[in-house]
Amino acid sequence: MTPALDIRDLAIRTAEGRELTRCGRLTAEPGAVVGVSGASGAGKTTLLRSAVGALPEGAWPEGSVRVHGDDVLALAPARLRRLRSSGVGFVGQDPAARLNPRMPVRRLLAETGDPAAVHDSLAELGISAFLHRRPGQLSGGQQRRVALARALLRDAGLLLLDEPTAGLDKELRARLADLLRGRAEQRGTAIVLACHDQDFLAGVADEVLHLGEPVETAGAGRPPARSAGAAEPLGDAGTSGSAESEARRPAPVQIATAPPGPERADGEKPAVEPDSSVHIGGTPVLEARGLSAWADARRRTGILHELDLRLEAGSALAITGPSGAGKTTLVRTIAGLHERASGELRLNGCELPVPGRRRTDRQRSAVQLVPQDPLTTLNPSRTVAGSLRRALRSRDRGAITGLLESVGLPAETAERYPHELSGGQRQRVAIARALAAGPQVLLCDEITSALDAGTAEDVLALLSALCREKHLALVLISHETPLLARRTDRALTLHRGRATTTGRTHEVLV
Amino acid sequence: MAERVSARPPAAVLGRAVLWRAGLLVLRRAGLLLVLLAAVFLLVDLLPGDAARSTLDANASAGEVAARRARLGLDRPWFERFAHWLGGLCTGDLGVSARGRPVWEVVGPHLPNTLLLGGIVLALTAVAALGLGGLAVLRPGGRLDRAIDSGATVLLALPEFVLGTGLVVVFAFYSDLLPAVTTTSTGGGVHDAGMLVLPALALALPQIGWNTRIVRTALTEQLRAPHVDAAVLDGLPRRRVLLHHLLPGAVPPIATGLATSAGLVLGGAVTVETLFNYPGLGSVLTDALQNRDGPTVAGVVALAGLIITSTLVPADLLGRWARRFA
Amino acid sequence: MTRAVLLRSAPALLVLLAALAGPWLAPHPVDEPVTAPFAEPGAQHVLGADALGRDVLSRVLTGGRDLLAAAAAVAVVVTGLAALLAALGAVRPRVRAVVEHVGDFLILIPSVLAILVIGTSFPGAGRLPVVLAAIVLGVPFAVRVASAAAGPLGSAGFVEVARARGDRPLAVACGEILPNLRTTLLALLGLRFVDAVYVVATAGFLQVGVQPPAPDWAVMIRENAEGILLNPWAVAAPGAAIAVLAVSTHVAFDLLLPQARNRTVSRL
Repeated sequence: MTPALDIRDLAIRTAEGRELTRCGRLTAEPGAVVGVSGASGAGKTTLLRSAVGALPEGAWPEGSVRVHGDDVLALAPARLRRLRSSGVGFVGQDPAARLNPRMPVRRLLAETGDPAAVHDSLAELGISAFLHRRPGQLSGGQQRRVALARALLRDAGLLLLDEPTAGLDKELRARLADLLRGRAEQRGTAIVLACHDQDFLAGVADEVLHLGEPVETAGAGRPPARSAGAAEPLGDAGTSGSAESEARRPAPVQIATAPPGPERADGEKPAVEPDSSVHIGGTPVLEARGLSAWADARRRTGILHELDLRLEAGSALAITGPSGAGKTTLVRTIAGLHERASGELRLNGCELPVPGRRRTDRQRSAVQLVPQDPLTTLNPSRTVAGSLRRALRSRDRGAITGLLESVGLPAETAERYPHELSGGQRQRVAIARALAAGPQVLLCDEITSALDAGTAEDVLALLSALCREKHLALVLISHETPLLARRTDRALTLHRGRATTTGRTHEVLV
Repeated sequence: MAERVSARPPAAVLGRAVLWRAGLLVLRRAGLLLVLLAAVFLLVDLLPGDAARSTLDANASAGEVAARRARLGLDRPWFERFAHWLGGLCTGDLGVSARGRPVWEVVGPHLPNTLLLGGIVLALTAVAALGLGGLAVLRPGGRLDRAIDSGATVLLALPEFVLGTGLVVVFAFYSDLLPAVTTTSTGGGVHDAGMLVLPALALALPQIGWNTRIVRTALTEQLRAPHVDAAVLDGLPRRRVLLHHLLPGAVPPIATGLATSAGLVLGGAVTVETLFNYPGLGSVLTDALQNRDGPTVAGVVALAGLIITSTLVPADLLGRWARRFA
Repeated sequence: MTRAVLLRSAPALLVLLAALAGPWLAPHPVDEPVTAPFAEPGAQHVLGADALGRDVLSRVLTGGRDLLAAAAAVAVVVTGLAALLAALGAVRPRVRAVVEHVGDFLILIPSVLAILVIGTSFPGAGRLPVVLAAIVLGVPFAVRVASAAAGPLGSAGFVEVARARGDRPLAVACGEILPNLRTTLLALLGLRFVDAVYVVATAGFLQVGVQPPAPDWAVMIRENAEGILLNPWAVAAPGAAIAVLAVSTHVAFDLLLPQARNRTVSRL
């Protein structure tokens, strides 16, 4: 019997030679359910889409993909259309966006299948109640079911599903599993699904194919640690850098284990108040009281709520929190870049206006921000020297070279443009620019998130050294807890714009 | 996890909000039109030369001129005259020309000719642009696509009078289909349909070029939409994808493009009418300008503004309506 | 890319050169009749004669300079103003809003009508009123194109850094944003030139700003149209000059604007 899907020795590469996906052998006989699992970025979607003859722009295939015996990658357009409409059903990721928002469900279903057969599918999936509604009026789960119905309607011999369980709760997953098994057994449909949920696959699939990481060719232009960062916590195929994949787990896990309020396991003083027992000595370089910030001019969407903060010279503060907690807004407000804010800021005891425009030159120089993405913060049409010159406000060659040296960059870097530098080099230039102003407070926003482990380590070592030498107050925002634990004395955790914990790093960030 | 259905406000409230927004759109365009009319009125007012003076003999006395000015209402303050003129616009009374005839009498007979020409041109443009743009997008990046794009780029750069004379040369020399129009012969009313062919072509071809590019770009943008990808991977016939998945999302820019073309056609009509001696608004305007006939000039520009506004408003509304579910 | 642009603009450059060098290359005097009206092309007169018997070739060679100069002036000024306004608008949204409204207002007046009205109101001033009117009318649309490129830059990191440093909006617009708009502005310049040629030539055809007996290409087309059957070259030659210039420039500079580039997407 011809397998519904037969893939052999498939490799899909971009025009530049980067491999998108690779699959030695995948066979789906009629009535079989095959699961495809792998880390994100392994090419599951590319593989599924190749089974419908849809390759990414400019990509080159090698090997063969046969659907019902026909080589899908070599079919003429008209035959391919026929195959797609009656031989294969495809349900892509994000089904909500894949439904035409202007068509009612009734029409969406009639488009792909026989109207008479509509009823059976509807009964199976329970969507007969909202045939007249449009996708915008449906919930996420309902949209998924409509997308599934569209594929099931034409009773194709092969059904391809890309991450069908995303966003579904346990009960719905169970129902989906039953539905798929029923289809396979009763109608002999071959089903291939890409999914990272191992339990689901175990329950529904006859066999599971595991996609390995695509081979990174040298000079692919992407730092190798990316594959570690992209590793899923479950079913992780990547064996390299498992410690880093631990580190990249987002901080919410920490929030849950570090309860706010006075209850501390080791009986220490409540850690919510500004921690006077830890300060190194003297007045704080920067103090913030009652800092609040909003997203819009009308102050309807609050980002920060009545925050207090203290920064000491020569110390380093870590700021963590889930994405959206307001970390970036906090440092931007301190740096004077976020206008819609209020509260009290004090620099060395003197008042510091919140909007940057109202600060004096000296005040502006004293508080500097190194933003997350240096590519957008360095003017692409200006050389490094040009950018530094503006920051230094002087054309002194010696000063520029000295500045570059202090961040560990050779003097020739001055003549380059930002796009000619590597990520690490750009980040150092951004730091150099911040240092050019001679700051007392240096705020660093996720500066190592786009760097590989080695470069990140170098950059942070540099910052620690500078912090000690120049007696700076350093603030580091990051998701990477081990990193912060090594380099900072104190930590502040933000959750929805409020400080939930403050204190010594090793207490707050376990 | 309970399923949450997105709540929809009751139909009555929805209808009222939609009407309100549509009303604002219309109001904005009308406001701009009002500013235009005021500006035109002022400008014509400042023109050197005087309707009263030009309708009297050269050696008329100052008193006679003053009397004539009073009779034509030229001595009243600016606002009053403007308000009066605006009121007249609503009833079709555009005031009195410098020659003493009602402006409407001068302009009226020629207006339908220009409207006819413009209407034919816009219809041609819409059909051709949609057809060519649709063809181009069936196989993006292919030969037909690039040919259509290049052709459109060439067409839209040509001034109408250059195209018009080129067409005359071609028709006069390479075919015997010479319409009875050159710049020396005059046509009577527009009784002979053949008279419309060359002017319409001269006006339509650049607009077809312009709008084909807009259609093509708008459709190509829609190709990126995920629901189009879904439709393609579902093997739907190409015509269905084009008409039901690509076109609806492309309606706003296409509608605006066609509406803007109306204005461009009006401008081009002035030259084309001059070239082919076609009895439309263009000839009225050039005569009025030469005679320093302020009220008539104001009347023609006002009419043009009105026509353009009346194409832009439906385009705006159509665009809003097309986006109602997106 | 640059090679493609140069290749496509070659015909326009040839016309440009001919127009600039023309007055010295003209074989016959431009203002005097040298043969019978609408005489056919012959050995002495390669393109024949026009309505008054003047040599067509000579008039064509001399008839481009003023037109091109006026169009170039309009293009340069419009692009410059549009660049400034777009960059400023990226930093100060209010500027952009004002320009949007002005643009929506000007769309109500067909440019030809406006040129006609303004040109005939100031008869003695030659092409200047036409040039000024073309500039005023052309700026809002040009600003829209430039804003599409400048807009995203307004919220770029380096702009923010400059503003936080205390630089004034104008300095930020000129120093940070403009240098990054080079390609867009170049494309805009070319396309504005095409549009300016259209406006100036159309004005000439309608005898606004320039009249017979000036050897202007557009004026020539108007005067010689009646003899089109006798000597079509009197009309075809200047017409071809304008057409080649406009089309070639447009086709060339169109490559530089991002939205004009052919991007391959999924097939239907």
